Amino acid sequence: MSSAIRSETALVRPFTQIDAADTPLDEVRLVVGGEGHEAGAVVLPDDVLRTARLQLRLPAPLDLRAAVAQTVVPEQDAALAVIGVAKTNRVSKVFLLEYLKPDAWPAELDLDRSTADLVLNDRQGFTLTVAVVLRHNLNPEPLRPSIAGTWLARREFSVGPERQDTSFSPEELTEDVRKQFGLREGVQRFVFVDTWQGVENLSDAVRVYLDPDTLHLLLANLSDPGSIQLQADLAVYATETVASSIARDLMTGDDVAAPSALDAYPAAKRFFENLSRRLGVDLADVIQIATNDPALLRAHLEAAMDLKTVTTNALKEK
Amino acid sequence: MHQVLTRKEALAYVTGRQLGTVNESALQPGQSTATQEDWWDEIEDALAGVMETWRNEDLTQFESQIKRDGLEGVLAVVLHEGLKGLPASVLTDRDFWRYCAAYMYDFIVWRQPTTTVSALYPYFGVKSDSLGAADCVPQRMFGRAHIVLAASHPGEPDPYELAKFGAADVWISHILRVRNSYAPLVVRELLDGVRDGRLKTDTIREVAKDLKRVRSNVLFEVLEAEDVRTLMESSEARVAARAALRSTP
Repeated sequence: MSSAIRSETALVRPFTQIDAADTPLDEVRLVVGGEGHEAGAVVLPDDVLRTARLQLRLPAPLDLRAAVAQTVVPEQDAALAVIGVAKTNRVSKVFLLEYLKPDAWPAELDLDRSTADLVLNDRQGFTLTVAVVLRHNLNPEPLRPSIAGTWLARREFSVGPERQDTSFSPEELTEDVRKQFGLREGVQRFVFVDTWQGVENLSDAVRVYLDPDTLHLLLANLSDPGSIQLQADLAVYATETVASSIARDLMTGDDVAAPSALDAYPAAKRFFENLSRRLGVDLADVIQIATNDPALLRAHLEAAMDLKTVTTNALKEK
Repeated sequence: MHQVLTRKEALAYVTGRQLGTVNESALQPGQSTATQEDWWDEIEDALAGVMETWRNEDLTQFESQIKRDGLEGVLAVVLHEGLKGLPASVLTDRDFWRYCAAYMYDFIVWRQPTTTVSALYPYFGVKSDSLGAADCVPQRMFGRAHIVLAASHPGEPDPYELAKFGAADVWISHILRVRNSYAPLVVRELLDGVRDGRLKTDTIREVAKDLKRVRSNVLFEVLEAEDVRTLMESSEARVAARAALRSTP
């Protein structure tokens, strides 16, 4: 029997009057080979990722100091941090950690590849965080950050190589696959969601298997109404499985994950944000439905992918 | 130049070895020319060193998983010492790690005994395009030693010491799979607590959950050693208080 009490996890930021520290970070840019990029995903061609000069355009120390002065945190206790994190190996590098003093950093901070080889030269890319942080512990006061390292404002750049966007291309459901997953004879399709937490692109962690005969017929007649119907149905099935699988993995105990739980996983976050837009459903609700009610998620997906029309067309083809 | 094995090649090799249809001689690495320098011999020496160290042990002394993990830690140091001078173009090449895993086939099947072939795939980095930092055995070994070395104090007699005791669950669940792995000083505090017996299995699980909550607001990477100690003490105190509350009738 399910619990009468429903609970959710959420990012709790029990602070007030720290928003002013955020505004100066709007001007932070990652400059790659002279071209500025806003915070968020930065997708680069392989050769650029490998060789281009990397710089961070940062707000002036005194501008940031003035902004922090408008918060509840004493400006002399705040610092600007720049942290790089590799995507392949568990390696990080603090490029900058400076109090908000005049000339504490240049307007454009060079990120020297030679000082952080395993981070900045990672073939799979890296994540850069620029944050205003509390530099040391303060006496606790209500609604004021007091733990060293607490961020008041931050921007993240997820830098990675160009690759195809998420797509779940079907593969043959061979005898080996059948044995590997313990599937019985006659299974037509199967979706396997592997460890997805560290992947740059969800398609790296998702395998969609389809009966070989069915797959061959599908590929030979891609534009037939029957094939279109099968492709749409497969897309619904795969999307539902992936969303439910991730949503359940994100749960803490019995609690449905909050959208902030996706912050650490850019690929999954992108996937859920796209899903939210496509379904026209709030992100938190998408996660909730994917966790607790996959049948409802499937219904939403069928509507969004217009399964009704493609099925009708396929039936009319007879 | 360095050795590589594609996912498809590694999958075929591991499956063949497991089914007994191929032997060691079937391991034929490709040559990556992503680097101009020739790293071939260094890599071969490092991997041979790991396997030789393992084969020289009396394996009957390592029956339990915790003892096997302790030996994995010792071998992790051998591997790291052999590979740490390699550039990122090698150490971030997934097919390089797949070659390392295939080379270490005998050790990996001893370390991760399974009943099915497919259950072995994650340990060789062939289950998907990604490796899985806590799964692919040589990569997780490299990470284990690398993190411990990064957290060591100057002049420490053995900077790798904390990598060498058996703590597989801690490494996999509370370090390598989560962002704690990017904060070596936090890892050091966790491992110190485990080694000293202060953080028992149940406690560390709760502390790890508590740290996850704190991590939402705190960037562990920028903390000094003293801050980390304070952080851990606070976390352990909260966990103890919650446990006391639960046990109150």
